[in-house]
This record gives sequence, C-alpha cells and structure tokens, in this order.
Amino acid sequence: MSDNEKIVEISMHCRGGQTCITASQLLAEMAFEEGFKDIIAIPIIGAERRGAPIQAFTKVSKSRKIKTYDSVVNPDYIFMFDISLLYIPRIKNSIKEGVTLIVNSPDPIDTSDLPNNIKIFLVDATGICIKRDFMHSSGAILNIPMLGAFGKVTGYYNLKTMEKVIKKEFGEKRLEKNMSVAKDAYESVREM
Amino acid sequence: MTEVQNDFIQKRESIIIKGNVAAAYAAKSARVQVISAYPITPQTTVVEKLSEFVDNGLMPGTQYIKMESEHSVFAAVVGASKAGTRTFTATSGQGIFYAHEMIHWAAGARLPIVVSIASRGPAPPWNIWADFTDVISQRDTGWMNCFCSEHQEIYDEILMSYKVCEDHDILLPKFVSYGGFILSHTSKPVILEDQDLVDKFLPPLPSEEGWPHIWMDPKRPMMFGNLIMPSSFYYEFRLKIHDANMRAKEKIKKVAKEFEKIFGRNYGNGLIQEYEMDNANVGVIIYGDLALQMEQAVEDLRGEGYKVGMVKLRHFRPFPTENLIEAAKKVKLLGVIDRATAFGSQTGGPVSCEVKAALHETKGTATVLPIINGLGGREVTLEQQKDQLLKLVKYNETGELPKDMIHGTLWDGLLEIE
Amino acid sequence: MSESKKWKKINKSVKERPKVQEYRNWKELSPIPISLPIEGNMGITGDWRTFRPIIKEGCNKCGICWIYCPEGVIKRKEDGSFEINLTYCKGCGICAKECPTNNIEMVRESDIKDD
Repeated sequence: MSDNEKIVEISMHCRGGQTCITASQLLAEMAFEEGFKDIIAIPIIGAERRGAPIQAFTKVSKSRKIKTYDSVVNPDYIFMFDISLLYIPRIKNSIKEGVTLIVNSPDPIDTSDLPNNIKIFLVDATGICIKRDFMHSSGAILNIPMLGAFGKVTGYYNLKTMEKVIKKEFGEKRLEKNMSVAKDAYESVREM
Repeated sequence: MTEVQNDFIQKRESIIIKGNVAAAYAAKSARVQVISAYPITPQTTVVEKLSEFVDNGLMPGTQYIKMESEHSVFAAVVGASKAGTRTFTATSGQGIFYAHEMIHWAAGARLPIVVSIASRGPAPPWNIWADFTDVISQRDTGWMNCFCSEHQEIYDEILMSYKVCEDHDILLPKFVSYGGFILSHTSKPVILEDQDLVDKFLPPLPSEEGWPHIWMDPKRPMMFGNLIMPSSFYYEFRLKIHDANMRAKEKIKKVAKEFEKIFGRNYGNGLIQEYEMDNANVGVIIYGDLALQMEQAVEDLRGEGYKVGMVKLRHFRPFPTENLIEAAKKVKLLGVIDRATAFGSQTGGPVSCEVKAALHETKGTATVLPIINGLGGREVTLEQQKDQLLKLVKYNETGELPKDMIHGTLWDGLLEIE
Repeated sequence: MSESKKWKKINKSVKERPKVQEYRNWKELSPIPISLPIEGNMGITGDWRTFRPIIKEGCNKCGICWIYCPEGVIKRKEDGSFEINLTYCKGCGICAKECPTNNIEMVRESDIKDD
C-alpha cells in the first residue's frame, strides 16, 4: 500500500521532560497543515516524572478517516529521543523489520541486536539544542529538532510549515530560536 | 444546499485540539454565562482552557467561579441556573461522587445544566483512566446522559444538549461523557462552527428571562425545593422527572435532525447510530470511544465477508428502548459491550443489563451476549475488537460459547501472565 | 396555554399569583414545588391561637418581636411602633419570650372581653 492510501503510524520514545508528547501533537498539526485528511495524536499518560520512559503516537493519513484510538504496535517510523531507551528490552523488541528509526545521537548506534531490514537516520538533536541554547530547566527541548529531522526524512512537511505551526502554537516570541534548531536538524540529519 | 449553508461552510475553521479543549470550545460557542470550576484529572484542561478564554476576554459577560470542591461546583451551577443563566462545568470520577448530592438537586429542581465528564475509573484501586462507571453510577438521578466517541462529537453534543435541556417542556440537566485520556488528551481535527450559525441553532439566553418554573429575582420572591409532606405531591414530582426524561427522546431526535440540517453532521437518530446493521447476522451494542474503533473493526470484517454490524448507543438516559428493540430484530446475536461495571447485577455490565431487560418481552429479538472490556483504561485494541466480533460469529454459528465466560458474561482481555 | 407558559406567567408576575395554589393531579404541577410568599398562603392561622400577644404601654420600639415572629405577622407602623395582625397570628408566644423589656403579654383568648 502506498503512503497515500494507508494510515502512517509513528511511535515516539523519550524520557520525561524530553517533550515527545508535545512532539506528537505538533507532528499531527504539521501533517494536517500539509493537507493530510485525518490525523490523531495519542499520548500515553500515566504517572510521569522526569527521566521515566514516555511514549506517544501519531497516526496520519492522506486519504482515510482514522477511527482507532489504540496504541501503535507496528509503527512505520520510530522516534528515539534518547539513545538509552533503545536498549530497554520492551522498546528494542518493538523495532520490527521495515521500520524507519529517527535517532537522537551524534554517533552511529550499535545495530547488532536490531533487525536487518530497517532504516536509521541520525540527528544530533541534543548537540543542536546545546549549541543554540534551546534548553529548559532539566535538559534540551528536543521536540523541534527531532521534528525538523522527520520533515526532511519523510518530506511530509517543510520548514515553512513548521514555522507556521510553531508560530500558531507558541507565538512570535521564541519563533526565531525554534526555527534555528529546526533548520539545523533539517539540514544535518543523515542516514546511517 | 441553501445559500446560508454554503456561505457558512466556507467560514468553517478546523483546528487540531484535544477532546477536553473541544468541550471548552463548545461551552464558549454555546455562550454559557456561568462556569464554576474545580480541577480533577482527566477533566482539568476543560476548565483550564475556559479560564484562559475568560481571562483573555474571549467570553465577555461570562462569570468564572473557582470553587473549593466538586460539591460546591455543582452547588454554584445549581444556584446560577436558578437565576436563569446557561451554566457549564466539567468533572470526572471521584469528583462526580463527591457532588452526588447536588447532582440529585439539579435534576430535582429541573435545571438545564450541561456538564462534560471525562470519565475515569472509580477508586480504589486509584485510577484516572477511561471507565464509564463514574457517570453511569449517576443513572438514577434524573440527569440525561450521553456518550461521545469522537472529538467533534463532544463539541457538537454539548451544543445539542443545551438545546434539548433548555426546552421548556423538558428542563433536565445532562452529562456529556467521553473516555478519560482516550478522548480527553488525544488530539484530532475539530471543526469549530461559525458563531452566527451556532447562535441561530442555539440562541443566547436573554438575560432577564429565566426558566418558566424557577426565576430567582428579589423583586418577585419565591421559595423552591421546599419540604413536601408524604400526603402531598412529592411522589408526583418524581413522576414528572421520569416523564420529562421519556419525552426528551423525541426532542433529542428532533434536535439531532435540526443539527444535521444546519451543520451537516449526522448522529443517527440522536439516540442511537446504526452501522452496517442491515443484513447482518451478528451485531454489537457499544458506546463511547470504543464505538468509533468498533466501526473500523466492523468495516475490516465486512471486507473479509463476515456479516457483522454495530449499534452505537449515544444516550443511556433516556434509554432508547424502542430503537434498540428494532435494532435487535435485525440480527440473531447481539453482543453488548460495556466499559463499566454494575456489580452484582445479572450481567455485571450496566448497559447489557438494560438491553436484556428492554428485549425480554419482544419476540424475534436477538440473543444477548454481555461483554465487559477496557475497565480502568485497559487498552482495547482494534485487533481485540475484531476478535470479539469473531467470537460472536463463532457462537452464532456453532453455539459454542467463548471460553472466558464468567458468570454468564465475557470478560474480554483479562491479564494472564505466564 | 401550554403548561410551561402558564407557570412562566404565574411566576413572573406577582399580580398573576393565585391566592391559594390548587392542583388536581401530577400533570397540572409545576416542574418543581414553589411557594409563592403571599399573605395568607397557609390559611387563616389566627384560628390556631389560644393565647393572644398584647403589646403593652412602654414599648421601646426596638423591633426584636418583628424580627423573631416566625409568621411575619408583626408590622411596623408609621410612628415606629408595632402592630400584630391577628387574622394570622397563631399565638406561639415567641414575641413575648424574646421581648427584652417584657412588654408583650400573652393573654388567654377567653379572658379578652372586647371585639
């Protein structure tokens, strides 16, 4: 099934405070802005604290109505906001053949335990945030650079759409800084 | 399409919002005059968003009252409604239980209050996730109660509810409920309707009008809700609450029709919504968020050649007995799926009990198989729902009951750890 | 006139209120019980009285009796003194009990010679 007909499912893993729940919503908004027919952003909400593993999903479709609320078990794309999460057995086992991983890491990752037929894209989101001083009280705000990288990888949206959505959500005040990290990630993401 | 509709559709704005935010926008579109608020998960963002609207001057003239508990929240909306205003609040789970006394009071005083409920499981064990036991436990208070299965439906249903509740021949309060987190915290596109058209559908309340039966005004003193002796009319007033509930069915249908005409979105007949029930052998009755996902399951199994269908129960109170009987005549087997409990009852599920009771005197209706799933937010996947349908198909064909039957009910998706 | 219109009219206008509310069955009832505070709503309660309160000479017009009267039958006159409406006074004696100067006396009805 082509991307046009199916429901594309995206799963995001981060640690509490690394902002993947906001990322799942922003991704949905950007896809919708680009003319996707239906989207849903699903955060898994429990007893979150800083540092705990957090998960969120986004489902997007160019042509179909999305009727499900269940969590994504066979994602097309996986965001890995933190490299340490990759080695949690539950998360590692969820990486199936054919999936595309977007990993926040400056260096290539150890793929010995992962299925062969997967694509891995690397983006040093934390490094970008440190360079651009895009931080909150306990770390880097990773959602914008990760989404920048995803936009480049999939072509679902470009920086212009990102700017539009970020402006709508967060206003003018921090737009420039947001866009600087988005652009850095958009331009620096590379396939491993 | 009329010119008005055409013109209006172009003005539509569709934004991506959480279910809770959709409820807040609905209250804004309905031009509610008094909001009282106390936070409780998973409802909190409804009243947070409303406080933002009020603070930013987007709801001119609306009074926002912060209270110290849910009991007081409901006392405040009862008081405000008595003064003839359109009132709104939101709550969940334990908050509903705490407000229970005032919930009776609102229905007894026949006040058209609309409250959105992000349903959550009752404690203990402590739980904040989707489970309709909280709102269904208010079954006998006289409040109307409906379930939403999509973000857009939350927005639409709140507008429709005011129209039904405020009808001078109905005058009842209503819960608009949806699964906590599943709808409250996920985001989907919602069309926010043009204010002029909403005003046409649901006119703003004239400030000096009041309800026909109660009008709090110092110039014309009256006392209401007073003591009635057993020999006087207490008994009759109770009958009037039931009577209004039953008469509300027609009004709900009428309003759903009118809504569809103006806004173009169909909600069945307002009370129930059938999906693929014609020429089906097996059907399910289901409500809330799982109903939308079940549509997908039915669609998928139809694609595989199974003759399955479903009925989405939109209103639990008033209970659409006649419509369900008609639907139950179309199939041989009907699974009734609850995401709520009625402990110690015939089936353990509140809706399956009622459906059984509704069908038992009519010949030619389906056999009922009660199913319970998803309690306390336990995830019910699309695959699990398809499996439920297949279990029903198998039972219908072979007479072989699913193996997880406990006290006559299928408790689907119980944990089994190896 | 529909039921709701009827109730709206009665509740809105003090003039439209009936002296005594009469319902024959549940259909005629307003959606909730309402008491409309009109004089004599509970009937001629003066009939209930065995002892009659009499305000004696020397009343200091403090108004305590007027506040305490449970039936609201004590009225303040233009000169500031008080008068009891005997059509509705049921003779409970609270005014006499509360009067700080003991200026109200409860007199047995049969001992009263005039009227």
